[in-house]
Amino acid sequence: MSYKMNRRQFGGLMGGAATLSLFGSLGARAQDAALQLIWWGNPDRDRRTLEVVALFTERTGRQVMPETLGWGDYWQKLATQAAGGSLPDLIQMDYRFIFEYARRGQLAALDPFMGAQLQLDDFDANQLASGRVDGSLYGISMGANSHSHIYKKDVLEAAGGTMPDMTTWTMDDFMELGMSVKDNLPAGMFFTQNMGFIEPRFEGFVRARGKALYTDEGEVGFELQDLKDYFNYWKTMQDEGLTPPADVQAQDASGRMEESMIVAGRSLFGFIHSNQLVANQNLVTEELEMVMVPGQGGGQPAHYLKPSMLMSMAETSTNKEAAAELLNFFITDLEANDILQIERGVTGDPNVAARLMGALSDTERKIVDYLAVVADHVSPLPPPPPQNAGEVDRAMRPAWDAVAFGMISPDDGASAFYDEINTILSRT
Amino acid sequence: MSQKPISRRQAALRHAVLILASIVMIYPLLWMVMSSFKPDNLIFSDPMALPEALNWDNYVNGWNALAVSFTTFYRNSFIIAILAVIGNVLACSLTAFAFARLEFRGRKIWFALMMGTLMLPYHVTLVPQYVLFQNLGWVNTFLPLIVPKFMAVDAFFIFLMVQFFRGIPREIDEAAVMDGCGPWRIYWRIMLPLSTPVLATAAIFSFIWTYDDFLGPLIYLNRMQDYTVPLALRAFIDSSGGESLFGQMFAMSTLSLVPVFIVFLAFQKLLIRGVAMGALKR
Amino acid sequence: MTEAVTTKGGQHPLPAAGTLSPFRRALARNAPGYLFLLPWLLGFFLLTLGPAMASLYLSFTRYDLLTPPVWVGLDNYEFAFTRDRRLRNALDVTFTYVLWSVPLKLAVALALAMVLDKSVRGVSFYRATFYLPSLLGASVAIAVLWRQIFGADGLVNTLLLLTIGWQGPSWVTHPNYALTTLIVLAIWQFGSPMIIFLAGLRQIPQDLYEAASMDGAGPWRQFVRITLPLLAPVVFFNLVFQTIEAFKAFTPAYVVSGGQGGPIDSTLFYSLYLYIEAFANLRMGYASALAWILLVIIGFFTAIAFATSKYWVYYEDEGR
Repeated sequence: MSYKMNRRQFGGLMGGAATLSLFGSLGARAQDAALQLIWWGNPDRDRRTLEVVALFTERTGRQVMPETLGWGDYWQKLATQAAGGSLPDLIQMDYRFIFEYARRGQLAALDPFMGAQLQLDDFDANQLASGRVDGSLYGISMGANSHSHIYKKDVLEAAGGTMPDMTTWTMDDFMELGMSVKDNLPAGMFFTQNMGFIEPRFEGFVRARGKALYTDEGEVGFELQDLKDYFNYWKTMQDEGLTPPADVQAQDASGRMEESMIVAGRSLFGFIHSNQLVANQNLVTEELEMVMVPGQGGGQPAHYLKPSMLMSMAETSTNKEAAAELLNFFITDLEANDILQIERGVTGDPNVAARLMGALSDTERKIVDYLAVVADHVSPLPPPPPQNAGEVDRAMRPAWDAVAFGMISPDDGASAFYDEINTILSRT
Repeated sequence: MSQKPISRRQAALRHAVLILASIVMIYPLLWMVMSSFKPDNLIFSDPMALPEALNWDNYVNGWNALAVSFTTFYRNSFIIAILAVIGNVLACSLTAFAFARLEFRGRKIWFALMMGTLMLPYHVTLVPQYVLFQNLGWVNTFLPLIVPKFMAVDAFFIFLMVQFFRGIPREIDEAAVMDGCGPWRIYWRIMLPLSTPVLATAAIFSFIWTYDDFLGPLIYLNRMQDYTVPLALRAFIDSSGGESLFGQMFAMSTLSLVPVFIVFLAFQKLLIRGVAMGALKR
Repeated sequence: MTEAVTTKGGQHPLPAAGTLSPFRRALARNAPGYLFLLPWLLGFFLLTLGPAMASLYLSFTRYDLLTPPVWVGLDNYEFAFTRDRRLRNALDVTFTYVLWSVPLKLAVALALAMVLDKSVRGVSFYRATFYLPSLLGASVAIAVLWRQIFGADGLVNTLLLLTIGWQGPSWVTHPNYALTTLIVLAIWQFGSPMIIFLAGLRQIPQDLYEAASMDGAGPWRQFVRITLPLLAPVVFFNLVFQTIEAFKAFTPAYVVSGGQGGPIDSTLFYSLYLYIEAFANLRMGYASALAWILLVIIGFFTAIAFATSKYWVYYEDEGR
């Protein structure tokens, strides 16, 4: 790729101060010429993406400067680049952050390119809608995604448990299943990881009651009683010995899957997003099954389909047409998607999807089949999260831990956290 | 070194304590090496188990797992770390010499300001610094990682050297002044040679800290062919739910310790050379 | 605060000072100092001062990194001093960490440096091994490692179970033990001060010990009478630097707690809280205010150290 640049850089470096300004201008020119693309990922995704970039350059003659980072580093770098006004042209975006970046004017609205560079007439309407913020399109979904429970199939069977119908099962069923198998599980393994601190799981909980985390106005969308019920349920699960004790559960602190209870062999059930199945399966020897999150019997769906990730464009991009072209290439080009497969999620482009279905692995097929079932049991997207929603998400962990470690009763813990949520949301 | 002969039993005891301490110190490393020989699905599900065989796949595959090979990452890391060592040792010893030995107006104030730069948490200067280097056109080059070292930005080393320079008796350079030596010759001919231990210490720390640093490279380097080793190691793991390569990450992490270890062994010889110098002093 | 580094001894004799004008004389006296200081001065004014002043300015603004900063006067400081409960907790955690980790780490470092200063066979191997933990840094591998050692069925608990038959808790993730574990980890990474102590020990002339031996002084008296006084500048350095670093400690908690300071904020170090505010909650303005408050705190303790040092730190260049 740009190995030549690198040699020049090396030369500039060795030449010392005299070449500094010359060197700086070289860097600037390279930036003007090439489209910049940034994503978070892993070696597998990096390879696929780089191949697609090379294919794009071959087709169009446009140079692309790719950049890839791990998830943990990605957002710090992006915020720094945003502060410097130098965001890359195309940015892989997360559903949680798109509102922050779009509302603060960092992302370009994509509507002007629809029908021109972006050929998305056949694209799944629901998936397309998930990239809208306040009415404008700020990102294109790279694939659909939903919550799920996973479990070790053979272990459940060996313990004498039978999975009920996943589309109708309730949290009571879940607890009952746990009680029936808990004495037959391998040593050190509990029925399920504790989910008292998992904000997306709590969101499913309030959605099953016909509510949402936040209202359209960005205020709290559920009652204190909902939070009390939720904390009480998971405290009961812990006290019944269905989840690991608090200090063991707390080892799963970072949200990294290698530290999750199910991967560590400490729980039979776990909570993940559907696109994480392949990675989880790679880390355990037992076969994993994926099922829907249990509801509460009222018939209100806990689930919704959200984008696993999106692709957005920077407002500061100096070459928006070309960036839109590359974006379209990623989403719709058949040859490009032969390379990408469903690594980023199940695409909303029907032509691409049809072509890919034949070549899936068993684990990938489970995701596709799962999402097909979920698609019949979803409610619309929730209202966009308000500013500071991410902070509320992070605050749930210590709030729950105080309950789990027995420092405060579930009811009092819920009250304290409810107040805290309101404080956080009111802070600018 | 002159040493009273110690009894065999005493020596054995001392070794037993040291070996026990060594095991505590290197246990994590052993775990990492062990994991580097395992397939991914066994690393976390059975973390204490020994690997079934010495399987070098993780090393072979890990070296070329990313779009750019580790050969490039090591080259980048070495360029940056070696230049940082040179910069730090030169610039910081000059500054330290001024603070420790020369008389000039405002010295106390400058020294206080220098200490002050140690105290500001770097996370808040990160963004303004990024903007500064961006305006200089230095982002996406090694320059933000190297040039500051030649301007003695690491106050740690200055303070360290000041403390050591002040441990050298003043009679030595006063005698040199009588012989007509200027400050430069005192610095170059007397101070530096007498300060091998502290210069070696500074060199070791400069190398290791620069080599280990990922925040600087993360912020300033954009293209993978410019990445340093620690930055590349982070590319193996996708904590957001994609596929990670843990075994290869552990293999490459193990390898990444080899250069720092070698540098440490090489420079610590200079630490020892201080003995002879010390004897010269009186 | 710079009292201690002022030379009390003689000044450099100036060449033929009497024949020069006052200005030339001042120049001749100050020029060498400033010439040697030049690289640092350049770096200070070009690279350090600007960003530092920018962060001072930002501390009076609301700044989310994505939109331009908005001036809010003293709001950030007011919030920090009056309403921020998490900040008070972070201060608590940080002070506990500083008070325990710094003295213990220095004691261990000095003790082992003295053992390694003696000629034991394989000394370079031991020295390198003891430094190893400090080499490990903050890579991804390390985050995973700690769990394997201090986790519920990690190495520590396995050993406890074998030796005293007690099943311990998960040390890093129990709110009662997490901070203590981090202090132990800090002590364990004693490599850097150990190396600096070693370098300092190398500067102590051996003939002093020989003379003391002849006078019949035992090891303890040699330590108190010779080693400690001559090592004082180095002890002073390690003390000041380790204190500053402990106040700014970020990596241990970031790595071990997955970046959240948990469980229940029991490892929420000051710098970690600052980082979360800056880059996770996108409140760079408030984070900058936190940084300047920390600077004042650290500056206060450093000033005390420098002020008291004249009573216990003796420099070779001070004459006698």
